[in-house]
Amino acid sequence: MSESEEQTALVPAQPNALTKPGAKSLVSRGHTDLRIKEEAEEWLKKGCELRDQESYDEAFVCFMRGIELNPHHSELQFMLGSMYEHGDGATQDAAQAVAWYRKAAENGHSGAQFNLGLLYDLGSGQNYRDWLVNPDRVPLNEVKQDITQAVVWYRKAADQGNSDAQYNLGFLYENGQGVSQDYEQAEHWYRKAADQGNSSAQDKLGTMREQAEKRYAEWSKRQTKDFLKSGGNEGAIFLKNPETDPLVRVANEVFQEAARRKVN
Amino acid sequence: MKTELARQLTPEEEELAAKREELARLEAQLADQELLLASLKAELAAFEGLYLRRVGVLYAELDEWNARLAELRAEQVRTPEAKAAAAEARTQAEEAYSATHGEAAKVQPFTPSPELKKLYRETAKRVHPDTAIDEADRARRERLMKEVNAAYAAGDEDALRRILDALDASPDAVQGSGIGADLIRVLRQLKRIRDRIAAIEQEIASLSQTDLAQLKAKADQATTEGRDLLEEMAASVQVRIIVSRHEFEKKATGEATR
Repeated sequence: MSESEEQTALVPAQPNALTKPGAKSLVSRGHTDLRIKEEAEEWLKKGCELRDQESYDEAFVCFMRGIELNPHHSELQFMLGSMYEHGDGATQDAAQAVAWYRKAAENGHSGAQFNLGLLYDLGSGQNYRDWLVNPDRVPLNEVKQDITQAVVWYRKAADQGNSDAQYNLGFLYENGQGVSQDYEQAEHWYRKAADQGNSSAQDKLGTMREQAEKRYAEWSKRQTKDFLKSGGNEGAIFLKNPETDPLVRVANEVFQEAARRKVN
Repeated sequence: MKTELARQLTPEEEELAAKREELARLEAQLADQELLLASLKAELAAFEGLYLRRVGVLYAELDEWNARLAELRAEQVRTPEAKAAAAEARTQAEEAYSATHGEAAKVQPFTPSPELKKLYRETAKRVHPDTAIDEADRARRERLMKEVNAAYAAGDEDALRRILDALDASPDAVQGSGIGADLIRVLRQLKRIRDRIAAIEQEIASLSQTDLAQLKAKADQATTEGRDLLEEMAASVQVRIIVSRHEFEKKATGEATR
């Protein structure tokens, strides 16, 4: 090989990526963060096992160690909220429960969104309803009831497919609490929850249908009465042949329209 | 015929023939090992590029927000410590930025074709410095070997063919005189090749201990489980970016309204 050949390499020199210090430190950083995350995951797993065995003190310590390693872990935040809410492994503390649930909820944890909604919904325990979701649940006295906040968090959880939140949101719409009463919305959310097998929502849908039918029966009775009063003998025909009579069809259409507009 | 020929060989000649056979075997093995090492390095460089593009850039963004935060704090408190912290954060942000916008981040996925691998093995076997017959030859081969490795990493089959052609044209391995001299040369070559094979094994072992290789192993494992590890890592850095940016914006607007 001649002198000139030696100097012109056949291939342009490749950047040796493996030895670039900046890139190397970014890789190490990612790997360290990943290992920490994995360790936090281990603590979560261990904590959940211990909690299932009702070893709450040890479980609480595990969740705390996990959250130290990964402060943004929404499941760990949720667990800590739950431990504080129930006083498992820690003194029951509404402020802490709300704070942890809020962190997890803001991180998109649907369970935390529901629980936070529930805490605001139940507030200091007045007006405690049988939610059927968790009848043993005792509301925390220190949380100020705030149905508007409850609706906000229920809606986030409901949008993520949490059926308990869908049911509760339906309930608030049906009863006009924190929102203006809206049977259509109530039915929409009950239906979503019922589709996921929520039996309370299925019952509610049944009740709502019965009530609507009752309202229809009363309405048509009233209509018939008015009709008879004003129209005389034709009323008998109307009652005899309800399937084919155009008036009955119109009456049905009027009712359906009324039902759509949530007319009682 | 064969036995007649064998009878004509002196013990030295027999020994030389045996050693040459061993040499050929080891040369093939060495070429395989070099291929393994070169592939590993190229795969790691490609993974590093992917990592820098998908996760590294987010660390750079996070560092940028943290640097801005530290600088804001330094403006507010004006202590030497705060100033030093701000300067340090700024340096880190700049390093992260240049690392994610430099050459390393541009390395593309490494997918060698069977033809490229075959060419590499052939060329490496021919060029390999440890098969050199003297020091001058060795120096020349070392230079060529670097080019071979670079061509392989770049997936450049033509470059490998050019190197092979150049080798064919040059008078190769002019033998010294005398069986004794040949035998010594072959024995030296054997030792060097064995040493090199051991060195490659060590290099592969220490490469696989690096953060990069371990991260790649975890990412590969995740892929077999249907997960995207880099995506998961990116997501968790993104959360931190949001937190830092939020904190910065809160402090910056607080400062402005004061």
